[in-house]
Amino acid sequence: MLISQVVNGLSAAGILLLAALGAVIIFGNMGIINLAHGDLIMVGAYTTVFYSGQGLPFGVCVVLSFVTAAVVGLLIEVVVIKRFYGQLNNTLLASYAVSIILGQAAKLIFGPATRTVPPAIAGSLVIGDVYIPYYNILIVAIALLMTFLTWALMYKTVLGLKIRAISQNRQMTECLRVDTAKIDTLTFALGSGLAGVAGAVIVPARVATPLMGASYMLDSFITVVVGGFDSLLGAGAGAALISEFTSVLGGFISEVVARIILLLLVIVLIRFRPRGLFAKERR
Amino acid sequence: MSAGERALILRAESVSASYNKSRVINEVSFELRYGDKLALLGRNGVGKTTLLCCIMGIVKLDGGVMQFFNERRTRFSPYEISTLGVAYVPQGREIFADFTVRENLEFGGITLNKFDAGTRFEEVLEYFPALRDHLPRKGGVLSGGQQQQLAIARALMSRPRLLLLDEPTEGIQPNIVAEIAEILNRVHREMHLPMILVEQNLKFAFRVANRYMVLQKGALAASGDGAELPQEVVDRYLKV
Repeated sequence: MLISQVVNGLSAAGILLLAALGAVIIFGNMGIINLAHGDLIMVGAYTTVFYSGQGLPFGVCVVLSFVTAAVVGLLIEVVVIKRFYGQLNNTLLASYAVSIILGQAAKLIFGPATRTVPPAIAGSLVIGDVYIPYYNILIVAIALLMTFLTWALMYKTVLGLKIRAISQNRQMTECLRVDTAKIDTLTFALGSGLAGVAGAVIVPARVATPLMGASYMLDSFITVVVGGFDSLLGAGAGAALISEFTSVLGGFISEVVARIILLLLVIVLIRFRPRGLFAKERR
Repeated sequence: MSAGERALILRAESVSASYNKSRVINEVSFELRYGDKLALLGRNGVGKTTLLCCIMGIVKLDGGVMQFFNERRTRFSPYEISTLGVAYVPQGREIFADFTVRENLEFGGITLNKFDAGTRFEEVLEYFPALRDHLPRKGGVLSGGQQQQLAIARALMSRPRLLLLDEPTEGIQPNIVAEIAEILNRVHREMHLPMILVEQNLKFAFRVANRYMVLQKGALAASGDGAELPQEVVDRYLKV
């Protein structure tokens, strides 16, 4: 039983990592807490529900979910977030408003019922008495791939270099001929697109509902807090730690109790390592 | 050549700026022309750094007009000003601590194409041979003098048309100060780069500058050509 819980924990970690990646990009580099982050995951989920219903293959749905969530994120940044840079409280309120609007809009368009799509690949890998659905393996693979792509974008491209420069010193970066406002918009769109991918991957494993965003938003931020604000490695480790903890402990006691213990531990962690387990030391 | 014939680099017309409604720059007007190395002098807190920040677009004007080359406006963003060819070496140097020295330099030339950036990289390192040994190190671990050289080198990477320097000698040991003065003069001679230099260190300022402006309470108090300051001006506006 322990082994199958560890394995279940891994696919949950994949989902969590995908959900948190976008939050790491936006929060880590721009310092923005976007309370609509979970709703962008929802946008991705419904995009996949919609195009999957049109008969498009899962791979295409994932890409379309990225694009749709990125465009929605871009609009949110240009219309709302841009006006509140440097004002944490106002950003929180404004993005919460956006979250409500997106959730209710989804309810109007798709109805309140839960929706899902069949997994892209059916069947399970059976090892002894442990069943691992192939789709769960795919989730972990996609999560690792997206983490790698994000890392490559941040550390191997000019856009990534500019994003990292802004996170170190916004004003100096602007004085060096970088249009920081444009980069902010792109960063936000990119983080939103990653949330969309998370949504696409979640639907076949779980369900899409109009108000699914809130719980995923919470989980992504817990992951970011545990892992570290500016570290992709930290996000991965945070996702793995949290998922394995709830999955394994949840097998022995109830999952609810496991979550309560987890949240208590996170509070203790914030007290002693406010920037997360894997945050870079700042000089 | 008389001042009128040399190309206009920068013109400030009755420029004013405030922090929290209190005026810190009061109707300052001046011109900078090709060939000028202007020292901006004055006691602590008279608004030298603020005026430099106004020129760079970091502090918004609440009155007056700025003209860079042919662009004349009341409002510019730092991005627009840097794209016009103004490079800035701020107080405190503002090196990207997490980037290597090489990355810091390459970032300075981020708008150049790969070939240009490579050529420029070598050109700039000619002036700062000391940086060559530190290319793979993080910018944050360099000494103050090395960081200052890196900040100037980074500014030069973009092939600027005007260089702004805010107290490049602050907290730097004397032999490096002399070296920086020599480098700036060489840069001016060989790249024909106009400069504005905010300085407390008069000796350094006049090793470099060929014009001066003295600020007093945010307004222009004295100005002139030449590489020396009249004793009367020193006594009145600069003696502590």
